[in-house]
Amino acid sequence: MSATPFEQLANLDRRVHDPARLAILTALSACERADFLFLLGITGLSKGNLSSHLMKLEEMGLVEIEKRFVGKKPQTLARLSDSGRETIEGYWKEMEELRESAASWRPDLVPLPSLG
Amino acid sequence: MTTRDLDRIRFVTRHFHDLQGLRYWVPIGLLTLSVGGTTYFANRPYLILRSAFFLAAFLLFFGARWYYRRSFGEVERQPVLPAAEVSTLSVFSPAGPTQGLASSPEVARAARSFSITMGAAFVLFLILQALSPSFRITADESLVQQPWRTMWAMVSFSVEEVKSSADLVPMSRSTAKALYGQALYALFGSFFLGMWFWRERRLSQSYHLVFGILLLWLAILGASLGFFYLSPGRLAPIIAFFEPTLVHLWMALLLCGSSMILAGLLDHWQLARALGQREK
Repeated sequence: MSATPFEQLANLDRRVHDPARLAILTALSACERADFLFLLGITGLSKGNLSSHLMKLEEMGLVEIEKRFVGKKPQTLARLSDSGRETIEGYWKEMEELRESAASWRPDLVPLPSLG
Repeated sequence: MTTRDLDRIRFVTRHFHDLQGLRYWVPIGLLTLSVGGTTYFANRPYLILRSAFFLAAFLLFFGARWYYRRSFGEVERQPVLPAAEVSTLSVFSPAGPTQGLASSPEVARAARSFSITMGAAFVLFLILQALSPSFRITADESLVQQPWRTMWAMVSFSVEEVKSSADLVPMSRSTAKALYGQALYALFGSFFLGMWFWRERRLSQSYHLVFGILLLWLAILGASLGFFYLSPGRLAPIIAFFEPTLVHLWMALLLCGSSMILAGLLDHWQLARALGQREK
């Protein structure tokens, strides 16, 4: 028997499902790589928040961070790793399936657990 | 964070470079206006104005590059985009196509959008030109008066009598200029339309569609001008109002250049708005 929308929702990848991380990964999935300043503007996160989420994503192996100097100014560039790209694509596939199953789901088809 | 927000993030990131209106479209518009001056404006104040437009375009191109990098950061775009992207993208997948769909033949989406619309526009333009009855336009080319003084007057039309293919009547200077102007409408109009397709036909990008339709409409009107010719030497009243835009090259350059500048400013506004909201 296929999973209900609620079960599918519960099984979503928690690493990606957080709104801030989803915003970062969505931005990075639309380009080869982007710098910290751009990610700051596009996600609307504060510097501290963005920095902490990027570090977590790097620890999970979803994002690769590169630090370099442009002239005398430091620049932080982020890009999706291969596994990060697969993860975000898989996440959207799951969301698409969830949307379809939620549209066709009928409460009367699933027996409700007894409350007593 | 809604799916709409994520879709906006994906769109702005993907189009980060071409949304930099001050860097590309405004300088192109200024250059077009600068060239516009060469058609009639031969006296000194206009020469200065032309030079000013040219210099402003040059400075803006390099200055805006620095400004965008400093204000909004840098994005390195993906080398090639999958061809199946437009049809497979849904509002629930702002991350783009899945791996399986991306394996279709890879064609740059931008090249496809522009080549199809511009190619189709030019074929239509040439067909209309070929079908339309040929006639000669004579306008004031003396360069003595300001062009807007001669905008409505000093233009006359006469039928070109071509007896055989070996006996071609040479095109008058004014007719050639009008033809260039109409071709310019087709070029810019199809460019705007191609841009709208490239930008995923989004409502927020509909100003490209509006400019595209307006300019292509002028191109079509110009190419079929012969159908509206009434003897002796005038056009049908229904088209007379648009006469200056269809016969004067400087008007075409003015309209195309202004549209490009306006589109560039709107692009810039959208980019600045999308990237200007931050948490405190």
